[in-house]
Amino acid sequence: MEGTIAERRLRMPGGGAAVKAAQEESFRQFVEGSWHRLLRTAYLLTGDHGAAEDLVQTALMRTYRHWARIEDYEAPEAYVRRVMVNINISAWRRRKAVVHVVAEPPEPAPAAGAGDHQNTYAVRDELWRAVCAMSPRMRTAFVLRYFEDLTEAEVATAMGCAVGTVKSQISRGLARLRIDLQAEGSFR
Amino acid sequence: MNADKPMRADKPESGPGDEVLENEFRAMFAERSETVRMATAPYASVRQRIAAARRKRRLRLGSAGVAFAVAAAGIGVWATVPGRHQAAVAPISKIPASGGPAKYLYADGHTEIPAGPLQQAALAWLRANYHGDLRGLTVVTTFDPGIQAAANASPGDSGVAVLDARTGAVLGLGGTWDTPMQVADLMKPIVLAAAFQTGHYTPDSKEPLDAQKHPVYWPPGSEKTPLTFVSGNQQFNWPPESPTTTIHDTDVTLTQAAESGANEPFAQLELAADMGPSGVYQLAMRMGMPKSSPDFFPVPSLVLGVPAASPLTMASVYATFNDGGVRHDPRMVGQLLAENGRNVWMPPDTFTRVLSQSTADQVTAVLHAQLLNGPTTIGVDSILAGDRSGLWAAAGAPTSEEAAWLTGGDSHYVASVGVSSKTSNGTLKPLGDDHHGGVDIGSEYAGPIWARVMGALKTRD
Repeated sequence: MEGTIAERRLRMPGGGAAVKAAQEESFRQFVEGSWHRLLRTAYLLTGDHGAAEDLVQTALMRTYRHWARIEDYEAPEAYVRRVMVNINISAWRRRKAVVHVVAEPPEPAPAAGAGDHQNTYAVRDELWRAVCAMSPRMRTAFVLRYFEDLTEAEVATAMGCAVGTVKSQISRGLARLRIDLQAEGSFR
Repeated sequence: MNADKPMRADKPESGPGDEVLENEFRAMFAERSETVRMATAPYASVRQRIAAARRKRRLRLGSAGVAFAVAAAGIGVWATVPGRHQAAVAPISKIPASGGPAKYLYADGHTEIPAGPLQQAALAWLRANYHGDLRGLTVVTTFDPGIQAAANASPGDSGVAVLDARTGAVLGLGGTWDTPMQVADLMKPIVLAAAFQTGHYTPDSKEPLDAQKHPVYWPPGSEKTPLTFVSGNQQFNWPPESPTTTIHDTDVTLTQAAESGANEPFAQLELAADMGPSGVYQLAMRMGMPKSSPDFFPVPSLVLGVPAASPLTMASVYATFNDGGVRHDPRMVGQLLAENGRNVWMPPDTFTRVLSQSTADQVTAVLHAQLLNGPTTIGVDSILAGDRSGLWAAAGAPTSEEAAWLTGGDSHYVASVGVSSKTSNGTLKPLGDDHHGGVDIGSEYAGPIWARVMGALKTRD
């Protein structure tokens, strides 16, 4: 299969975006090395395992096209992550039907758990459900900020928006959750 | 929970528990991320995606490509990938000066044509149609200096071909007149012609506008499985529509459908029980589309104009509408003269009746309405209102926006304008930003050129 693709590339006028064998190898190493990190981020961005794999593959496809230039970047993984963010947000925009991100059902509470443990699991499930219900932009801001641990400025760069937008997305999401969790807590 | 509900205008207060909440998020995300399943061979799966995308791109099918593959897989027509573009006219090659004609003249019989692409076009046509000795002869072409100037004055990579529809004489060739480009919406009038020819349809016949409410089925007898395509992660009823086309769940006349630029009414027509893609395919060939045109097959996606053709081919195809349904093969030479002025050869006027007069009239009536009422109006903006009555035209662009077309004419002439743009290494690139194609892109890029050419034709008469 490799040979066929190379042959096709050679026949294309001007050679197209020819990626030579050395670049092919470096791309392979990059994919194998970064796949699991990218997949985790993609899963948190989409909330769905199948969509996550699709997102990573698509982003890597686009990265491959420009690999000659990207492999020289300081952080090619950051580039791929940015591509994933863009794809995820714009794909959601283009959908005609509303697609609900289905949260995983909550793990059963451990039998021997003290009240504290149960509470922890309940809170984290609540957070995950809340994240799944967020708009892609807000979810992206949260994932980049609290999973990738980027600064607000770095999140803004990755999302291609203003820092103020990031700040307001985060504070709105937190405020909402604070209210919901306090309301929940009052029943416990 | 709706996290998107707009909050109060002032910034929400940050409570004391925010830091705790943030840490909870961090912990939650860390835990959740561990639940991902790792693919056993990530690199292989990425490679496979790339190869599949390459195959699709090589066929230049755009978003209609998946529908094409879906439909074709069902019919079993899909065989091998067609080869590189084949010229619709005999390929132009450099001929040594000693072996060819001495002089080339415009149709007026005395203005000389300088060496260049126009000479080469005439020579190529001549070699394909006349097999005698050309040495020392004078070639009187069909080209008109005024029309040729208008055809040449187009910016960028625009291809212009102008024909006299009554005789097939080529009046002007500009730019990339020979470059095949995806015909896109230009295929729809051919579908109309096929429909009107059956006698069962008129411009007032109605078809639905909304594919999502009115799926199409192919082949006949498969009414349980509609044709669909995939976009993003979703499946939709085929055909796809340009985002600039307004779709309601309603039935529209074929005239209205042409004005709107929608694909669904034409897909319904093409796949109706008394029609079928193979009828449209046969008609397109009889009207002048070469069988060897890239991506030219009798499959449902034909209505979306997947095949590629040159501006000259489309001009001659559309000229069939002008001349009451009679097709003439394009002619670039009027006469061959010997050195002493004696007539050596005159090409015969080939003509074949392909459509009935009433079919041709109905199509031009629809295209007249489309030109004046649809997004194609950009094409006529610069034409004086008084001069518009006899005009008709179709516009279009494929989803990739790698070409923009406006093709049409009046009672005597047809002009076909196809605009494209190439990157530095020779591949076509999209003309617009949005990659949605459609009638409006065609009229935006090709319209002004077409209007100028039609203006020059008007003064000629």
